[in-house]
Amino acid sequence: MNTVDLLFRYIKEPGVESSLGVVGAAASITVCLVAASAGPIESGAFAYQFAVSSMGFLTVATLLSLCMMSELLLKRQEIGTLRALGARRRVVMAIFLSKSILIGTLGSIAGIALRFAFTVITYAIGQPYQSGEPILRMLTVGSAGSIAAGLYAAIRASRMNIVETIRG
Amino acid sequence: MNIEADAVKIRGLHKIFGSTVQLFGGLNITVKSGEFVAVTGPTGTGKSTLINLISGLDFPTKGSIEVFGKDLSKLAESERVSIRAKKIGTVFQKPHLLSRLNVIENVELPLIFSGSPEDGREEIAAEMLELIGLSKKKHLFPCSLSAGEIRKVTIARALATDPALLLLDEPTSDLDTSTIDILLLLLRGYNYLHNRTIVLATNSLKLAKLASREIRLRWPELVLEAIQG
Repeated sequence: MNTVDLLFRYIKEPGVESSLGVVGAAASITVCLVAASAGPIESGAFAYQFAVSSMGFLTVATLLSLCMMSELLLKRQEIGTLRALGARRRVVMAIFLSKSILIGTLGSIAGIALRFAFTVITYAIGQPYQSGEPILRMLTVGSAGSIAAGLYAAIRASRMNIVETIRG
Repeated sequence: MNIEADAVKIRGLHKIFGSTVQLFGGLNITVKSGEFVAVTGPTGTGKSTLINLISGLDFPTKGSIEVFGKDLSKLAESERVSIRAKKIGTVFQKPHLLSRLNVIENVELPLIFSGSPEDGREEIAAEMLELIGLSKKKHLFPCSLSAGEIRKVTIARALATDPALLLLDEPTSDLDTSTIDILLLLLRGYNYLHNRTIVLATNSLKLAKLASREIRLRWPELVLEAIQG
């Protein structure tokens, strides 16, 4: 076993928090994509798209922060043990950051897929939405939100009081 | 590492919790390299706190603790972590094992953090488990072990890096008499044959007698440092 294996053990573990994070990020990205494609085309388009992207970023970052913080609470003792055994802060940070990015990216991809499904449905019922929504931008927004959330949780995790955590 | 240096040198130690609990009262201790010291005393006198302070997990409110000539509280975080991973093995009072890793992987953990070569880690961990009689359970997960077995794994984990300083905080609390006897032999051998320093916090008189010196902590201050033999 090496450090990468150790990280993988933590990242791959499915949990309610991770699932909720993916669902939350997916819903946020879907809503933002729909909102982005429904906005004004000419006047005020930039301001509108900026506002939608910002909302997307904030929603994903907030949801994933909550998700990662609850995961941090659950893994508090294990993280403390890792640190007490000699794990460096960057190992602990990598666990939370990589998991948050994975959840955020999966959620964003799921959100984009949902948006496509939404387009197909609206087309089928005869009220098609305009296409060409900023998929790449929303993927970036989702990833950036997940990095921000992951960084917050990772910093908190790496600065936990080891003695308090190992005493339980 | 300077082998001749004192393993642990504590000067004027005070640890204050809140504004009411004051531990150690200016404790002075020197533990020489290769010495086996037992720290005893009633509950609440700070045995576990002392172990945490020596391992660099906690810091003194006043005074200094040097481990192999280095004041851990004055070192950068990375240097402190490096010393903890490479030179100090700790058995904590609560035997925390990582639930998602099996027994042998739990024992391998400190080897990863100490930078031990990857190809030899599993072999070393297997040897440690053989030593404590758990080699048949090396692929089990902690949830399927008894409390005593979990305790044994934490002891194997602490010994895995062959640390120059072994800190044990109530290591026998979940063990049966026969296992305690085996552990006593193991600790004595580790100290005598490998010339490793051991600091053992315990309430067990049997275990304390094994040490070459007993440091008795009393609430609220240390008042006695008795030398046996």
